[in-house]
Amino acid sequence: MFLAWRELTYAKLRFSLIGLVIFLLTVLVLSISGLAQGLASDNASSMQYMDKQAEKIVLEAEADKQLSRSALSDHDLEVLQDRPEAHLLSLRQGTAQSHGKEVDVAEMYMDLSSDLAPSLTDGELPADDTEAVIDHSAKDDGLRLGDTLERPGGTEVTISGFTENQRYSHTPVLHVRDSAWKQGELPISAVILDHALPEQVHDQLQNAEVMDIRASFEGIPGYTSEQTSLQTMIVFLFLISSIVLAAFYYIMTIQKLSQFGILKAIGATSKTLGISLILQVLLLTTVSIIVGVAVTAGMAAVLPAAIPFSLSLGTVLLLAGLFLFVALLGSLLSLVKVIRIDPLKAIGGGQA
Amino acid sequence: MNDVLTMEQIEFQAQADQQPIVQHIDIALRPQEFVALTGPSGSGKSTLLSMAGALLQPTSGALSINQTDVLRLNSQEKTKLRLQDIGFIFQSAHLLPYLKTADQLRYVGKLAGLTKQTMDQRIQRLLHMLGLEHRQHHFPRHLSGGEQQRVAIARAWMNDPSLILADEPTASLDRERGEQVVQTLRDQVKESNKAAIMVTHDTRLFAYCDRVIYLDNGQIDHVEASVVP
Ligand SMILES: Nc1ncnc2c1ncn2[C@@H]1O[C@H](COP(=O)(O)OP(=O)(O)O)[C@@H](O)[C@H]1O
Ligand SMILES: [Mg+2]
Repeated sequence: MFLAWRELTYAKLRFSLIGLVIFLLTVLVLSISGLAQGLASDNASSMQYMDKQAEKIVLEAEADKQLSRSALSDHDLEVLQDRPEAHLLSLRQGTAQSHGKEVDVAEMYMDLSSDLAPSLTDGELPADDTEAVIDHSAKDDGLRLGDTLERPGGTEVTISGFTENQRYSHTPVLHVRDSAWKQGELPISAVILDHALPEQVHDQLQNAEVMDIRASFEGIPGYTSEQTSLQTMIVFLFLISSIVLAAFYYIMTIQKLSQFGILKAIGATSKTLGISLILQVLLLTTVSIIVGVAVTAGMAAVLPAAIPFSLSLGTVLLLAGLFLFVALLGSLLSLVKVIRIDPLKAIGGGQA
Repeated sequence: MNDVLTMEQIEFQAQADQQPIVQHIDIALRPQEFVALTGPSGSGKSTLLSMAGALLQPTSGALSINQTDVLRLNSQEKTKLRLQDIGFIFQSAHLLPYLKTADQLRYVGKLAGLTKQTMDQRIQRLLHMLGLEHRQHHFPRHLSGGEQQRVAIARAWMNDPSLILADEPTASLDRERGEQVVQTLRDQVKESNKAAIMVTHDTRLFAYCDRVIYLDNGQIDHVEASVVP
């Protein structure tokens, strides 16, 4: 610490510059992660919510995991529908109208008395077929409690409440009562299961596929392409970070080879010097990351609501940890160099 | 009194099929002895000094520092020996640019595990001795060449080593500064009961030493007793 700290404070400009680079990379990585998570939740929060409440989903085998394309066969429904762990789910994407304004919605039907029922920000769950609840993001389209809404099918409902975390494919989810879902006329898209089916029941299914709810996210239009492109960027940013840090520390170490040689000649061990180097990297990176996190949090707070942005503490900690790891990885090359320096180089009239 | 450094028939060969770089070296150094080592460039002076400083393992011969058989130590024990028993002074001061004068000394004290009290006392004593008190809060770049070299000497002294090894310590100094530095070295050897070897090409400096060892082609050519002025 003695050497590490004094060198940091002595070469302020040099270390500030590399600190600035780490800081900028942190902000960039966190912003992109926030955007990725924001987009994911804008696209899939209703399914993420179900993933929290239940475990599996049964979809038609040919539906390509896509809920709006899935229709379970009568046979498979017969097998499933009376089981206590099963909850029927239907989805229809379409355009609803209110005050002559069109609102794209994902209409969902499920048993609203089960655990799968959405949580409300205000109002109440629909009391009968003439009522429905919708994600509170629909307020941005001008929808208010008590407003009349024409469903994609043509029937009218009154908005009795607003829900949270209920978005599907970048549109608000409209929850309607079971009897409003004309059984038989519209197919049952899927069955949500609280836990896995017993094997003999599973074997009776003819044209259905059972999977973790999380695995069905990729069937949501746009989900996979959005997430993979953002995640690729994040991976590259981490790669760039480690290379930048590695190059910086390597060049610095090379410049200081004779210094390290002297230190070893006068009695510093490789271990002491290595620890000093690692401490310095950790200190510099930690401070830069903390500033980066703070600035990203500030930025997120002033971001307009139209930009989907969400960052959980867990993600921030994970990314920060990853950054530290990458920084250490970057200093490894220098560490090897420092350990290998021969103190003999110090003697015999070399230059400092 | 016991020898600080003993070399008997020391030889160093870089490659087995080549002529040894130094051979047949016999040197015994007692406390209070200040010896000059001189000879043409490439005659093996630095190589010899590296072996005396436990930085380079001789190919054959016997080497002991304060009765410790150096050839039997592992590299960790050698590092410890260098830290505690040997003080190095190099051609250029080789100070750490980011440490102030007092910290240059404190760092080696820390490496040796000295207590804070011992450390502070020694730093003050050494800085006083070398006339550096008014420079203790200065970085090396604010010191003159002579001052830097005196800091390097103080650093070599910090852990109270019994053997000082200096490889052309005055090469980067002007004549007057060089003589000052060597005078300081001599005074310290005599007052603090040390032994020292100094590599130098400057015949004027021989006067400060007790003996001059002339090295040629890797062997001791002759040894002259020096006349102290
Ligand atoms: N490890 C080594 N391998 C091969 N040759 C070496 C090695 N170390 C030193 N030499 C050679 O040994 C000779 C003596 O070098 P050195 O001790 O530095 O001389 P001086 O310090 O007297 O100028 C030089 O010719 C040098 O090139
Ligand atoms: Mg030399």
